[in-house]
Amino acid sequence: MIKIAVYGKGGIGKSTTTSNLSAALSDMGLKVMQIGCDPKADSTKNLVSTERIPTVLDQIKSKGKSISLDDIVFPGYGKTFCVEAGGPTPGIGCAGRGIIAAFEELERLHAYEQYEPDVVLYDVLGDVVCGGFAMPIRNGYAEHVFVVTSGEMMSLYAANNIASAVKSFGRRGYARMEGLILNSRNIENEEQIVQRAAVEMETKIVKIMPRSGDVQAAENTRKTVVEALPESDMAKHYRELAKNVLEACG
Amino acid sequence: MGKLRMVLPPFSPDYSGVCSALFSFGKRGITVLHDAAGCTGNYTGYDEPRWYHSKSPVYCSGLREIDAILGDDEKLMEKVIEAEETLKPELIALVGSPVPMVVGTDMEGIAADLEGRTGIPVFGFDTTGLGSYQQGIELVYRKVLCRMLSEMEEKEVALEKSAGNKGVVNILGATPLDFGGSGTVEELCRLLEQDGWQVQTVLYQESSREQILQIRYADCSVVVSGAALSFANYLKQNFGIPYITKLPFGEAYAKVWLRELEACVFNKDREDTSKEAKGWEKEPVRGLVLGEQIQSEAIRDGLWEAYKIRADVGAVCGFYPETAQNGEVFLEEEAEIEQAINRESYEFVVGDPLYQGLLRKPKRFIPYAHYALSSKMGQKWEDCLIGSRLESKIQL
Repeated sequence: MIKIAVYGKGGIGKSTTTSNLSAALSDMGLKVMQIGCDPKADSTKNLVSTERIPTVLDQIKSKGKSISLDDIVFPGYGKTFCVEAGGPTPGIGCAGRGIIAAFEELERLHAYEQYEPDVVLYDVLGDVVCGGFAMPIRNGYAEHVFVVTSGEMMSLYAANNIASAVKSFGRRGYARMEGLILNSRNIENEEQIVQRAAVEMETKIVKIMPRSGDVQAAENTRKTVVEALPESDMAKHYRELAKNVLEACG
Repeated sequence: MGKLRMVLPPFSPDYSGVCSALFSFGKRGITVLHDAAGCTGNYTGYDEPRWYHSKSPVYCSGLREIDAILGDDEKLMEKVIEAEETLKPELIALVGSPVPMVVGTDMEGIAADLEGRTGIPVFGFDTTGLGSYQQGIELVYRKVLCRMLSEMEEKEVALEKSAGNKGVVNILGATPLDFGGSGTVEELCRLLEQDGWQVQTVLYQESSREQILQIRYADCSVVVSGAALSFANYLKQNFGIPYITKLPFGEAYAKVWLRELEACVFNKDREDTSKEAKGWEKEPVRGLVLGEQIQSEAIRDGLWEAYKIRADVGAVCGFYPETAQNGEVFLEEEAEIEQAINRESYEFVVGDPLYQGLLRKPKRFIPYAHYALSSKMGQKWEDCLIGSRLESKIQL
C-alpha cells in the first residue's frame, strides 16, 4: 500500500489535483482511497459526482459507537473509495483534533484492512498549522508527501512550511518529502521561481501542470478531467502526474 | 447524558494504568507524565499505594498553557534528556494526558526522537485520560514487554528450574488498581508455591530485566486481570506458553483451579474447558458480582464451588469476550450499573462499597473494594479471597 499526503496552500488546487490523481491511478488499475482532511469536506466531490458525502465526524456525532465503514466510505469513480474527515462549524471547535478523531475512527474500524487500497491519498488542508493537520504525516499514515504549489509567494511560503515540518519529523521516522507539483498560474518565470524554491527545500518538481480551461469545464459537470474529458491534453497531464508520483514513491 | 455519573467517581484512567504497569521496572525506568500536575498527582496520590511512602521515579513534565499552544516538544525533550543524564535509567516512558490529546501532541514521535538522541529505549503512550486503566496496562505489556522479549538475544537470559517443582509460572496483570493492598497477589504466590509451583516473575513487584526476560521460559502464565490477556496470547503464540485465567478464590474452587493449572501445563493439547458448562445451567441466578472481569469471574466460580449458588458477572472498566460466559455483561456506564444492581432477581451483590449508593431498595451487599474506583476510601473493605478466605468473608 502506497500512502501519500498532498499538502498545499488553500485554493491552490489540491483537491482538484488529488481527485484527478486518484482517477488516473484508478484508470491504471489501482484501488485508491482518497481521504479529504479539510473541514470544508469537498475534497472528493468530483469523484463521487453526487451530493457531498457525509463526513466521519458528522457520523461519529450522530451514530456514536454504532458507526460502520459503510457510513463513512463511499465508492467513487472507477476503483476509488472516498472519505471526508470533516470538521467543526467555522469559528468553533477544533479542526485539528477533528482530523485526529477521524483518523482514529478509520483505524478502529480497520478501514485499510477492509478495503485494501493500493494507494491511499490524504488531501490535507493548507499549511501544517497544528498537530492535527500533521496527523497524515505521522504514525505511518502517509509515507510520501507532495506539495501542490504555484510560483506565487504565499503558495511557496506554505510549501516551505510543509517541507520544514516534514524535515523536523524526519528524526521520528515519518513521511518523506517527495516533491512539488507545480500547478501553473501563468505568472512570469513561474517554472524558474518554483525550481529555485525546490532546490532551497532540497526537493524537486515532479510535474508541471499547465493551466487549462478543461479543469473548470470538468468541474462544472462535477467530474474530474480524467473522467469528463479523458482525451484532453489535461487528462494526459494528470496521467503523467500519476506515473511520476508512483515513480517518486519508488 | 448516557455517560453522566452522579454517584460514582470515575475509574482510574489509562495513564494510571500505564504508570502502574511500569512499576515493575522500579527506579530503573523513569516515567514522565506530560501534564500540568493534576494527572501526576492523581496517580501518585490516589492510584499507586506502592509509591505512597517512598520516592518514585514518576515525573510531571510541568506542561504550561504556552507550551501547549506552541507545541513546544523541544522543551519536553530537553527536560527528559536532562533527567536521563542525571538518573541514568534503562528506559523512559512518556505518558500522555488530556491536554496533549487535545492539542495532538505526538507522544510516539517524540519518544522515537528521544530514543535516537539518548540511545536508550523510550516509549511514547498516547494516553488521553479518557480510557480505562486496563487499556493503559495493556499498552505497557504490548509496547514494552513484547519489544523486550522480541529483541532479546536467545542466550541473554536462562532460567534455572528448581528440581522437584511441578513447573514454572508467571503472574500477569496484577496491579494495585485491581487488588489495592489486600495481599491477594502475595497470597496467590504462597498458595502456588505450597502446591509445588515455582513462581518466577510476578508483574506486580519490582522486577529485574533478567526476571522480565525470563517470562518467556515459564510453563504457564497465570492471568489475573483482563488487561494481561493480549500479552498472554502473545506469549502463547510466540513462545508456546499456555495460560490460565482467574484466581483460586475459595477453598473449594482453589482445588478446581489448581487442577486446571496442572492440566494446562501437562496436557497442552487439551481443549480449553474453561467456558464449558459447570452444571449451574438450571440453577437460578441469585447474585451479581461487579468489578474487574477476571477477578469477578473468580468470585463467581468460588461462590459456585463453595455454596452451589449461581451469580452473574458485571464487568466494569473493560470487557474481554474470550473469557466471558453466559450471564457476563459489560457495564460501562453508571446507568447500566444502576439498572443491573437493582434487578429484583439478584438477592445479593458483591462489589465496591461505592456501588451501594446506586441501590434503590436495600438488598444484601457484600463490599469488596476495587481500588480503581474507591482508592483510599475503600481500603477498609479490601480483602484477600485466596483459598478459604472467600468462605470466611462471604457466607451465603
